[in-house]
Formats: sequence, C-alpha cells, structure tokens
Amino acid sequence: MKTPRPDSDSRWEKLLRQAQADAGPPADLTALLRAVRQAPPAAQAGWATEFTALFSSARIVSGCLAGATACALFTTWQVWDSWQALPWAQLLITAAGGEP
Amino acid sequence: MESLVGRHQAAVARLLWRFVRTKADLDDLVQDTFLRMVRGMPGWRAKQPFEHWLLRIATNTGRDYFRRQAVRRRWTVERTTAGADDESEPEAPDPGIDPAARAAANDVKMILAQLPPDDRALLTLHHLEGWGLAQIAAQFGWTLTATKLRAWRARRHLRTLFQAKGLP
Repeated sequence: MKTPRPDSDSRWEKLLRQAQADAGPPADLTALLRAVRQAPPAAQAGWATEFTALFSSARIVSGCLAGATACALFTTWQVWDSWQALPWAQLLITAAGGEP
Repeated sequence: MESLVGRHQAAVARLLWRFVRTKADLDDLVQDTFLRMVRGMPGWRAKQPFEHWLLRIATNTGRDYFRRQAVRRRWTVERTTAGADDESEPEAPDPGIDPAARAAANDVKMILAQLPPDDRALLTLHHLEGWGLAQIAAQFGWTLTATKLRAWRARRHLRTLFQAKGLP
C-alpha cells in the first residue's frame, strides 16, 4: 500500500508549477550596453597568470606527486642495485665498522 | 563584445529573474554578470562553450546576491514577519504577464529566502529553473554527493517552512 503523500507536498508542487511559468521582465539593454562599453578593458594575461592557470588543476598536482614518487622509487632501486660498486658506499661501510 | 551581450542577455536575464523579485535588482545582476564576463574574458578557455561559461558567471552572481542579502539581514534590525526577510518589494505585475504565476513565484521566492544562501541558490535553480543536481554541482564546483545531501537537507528545511507558512 502506498503511503499517502502529505497535503502540503501537493500544494507545494502546484505552487512550483505556477511559479515556473512566471516570465520575468526583459533587462534594460541600453543601460547594459552602456555599462559594458564603459567597463575598463580586461588586462592581458601575462605569463604568471598562464602559469598559475596551468598548474591550478588538481590533476596536475597529483600527476607531479606521482611522477616524483616514481622518480624516487627508480633512484632507490638503482642505488640498491649498484650499492657494491659505489666507492662512497664502501667508505660508509668501513666507517660504520663493517667488513671492508 | 556588444554582439555577445545582445546575443546572450535574454538567457542571462531569464535565469537571473529566478533569483530576484524586482526589475531594478534584475538589471543590477545582469549588469554585474556582463561586467564579470568582460573582466574574465582573458581567462575563458575555448574548451567549454561560451554560453555555459557565461551561465556559470550568472549563477555565481545570483549566489553572491543571496550571500549579500544574508549578511545584510544579519546586521539589520530583527524583523519579526517572515515576509520581510527579503528586503525588496515584489515587482508590480505587468499587464502582459500571468498574475497567478507571478504571485506563485513571489511566494516561492519568499519561502526560499529563509534558507541559507547556498541552499537557496541550489533550490532556486532546482525548483524554479528545473536544473538537475548534477548540473548544479558542476556549476558551483561541488561534488554530486555533497549536492544531493545539501538538497535533501534544504528540502527538509523547506518543507517545515512551507508548512509553517500555511500558504493556500
């Protein structure tokens, strides 16, 4: 059995339907054109604005973070692989009291 | 620039009429929208249609108007009658319009005026302009989930206000 809808809901919907049919007056086009003509010209976007716009997207920030993480992982992997071949690594082992 | 204004002013005025009750306020908001358009022109990217970009400016102008009204209301003398919350008196109906529709629109706007500004903007676009929640979320830069939740809360608040008002 369907729950009967409150009476206020149907009254509200009726009021909305009527309200949606309301058409507003036209805007004062003469005054509008005058205001637009008098508006100061927009400043040309400089390189700083372009740069900010380019990096304003959240996607670019997350892309940079992902790139930095990938770069760090790759470097760690390379260092780990060539650990034995690095002369400063040998010095570090000696200084730490390890086997030369 | 003038051809752009001529081409789009009717659509902007039609949308912004949902936010106001007088022609003077409508003219102010339409001018504000087009001045913002002129200032923001260098920032417009051709990847989105011009009309969408302009309507986004218009909806933000409408929302800012609601916010200004809310701030003004907070700082003015307390008013006891609910109808006095909206400062402007409704426009006297033109002979050409449907008086019942104008009266209904004024009643709806008067009730919506008692909501917080962002909720008021959301329900104005949803109920009076018939926009979907996804479209509103995109216009205001909200997530769809947050918009749905906000709409649900606002409707609940609105129902209480409407029942308390006891309009015919």
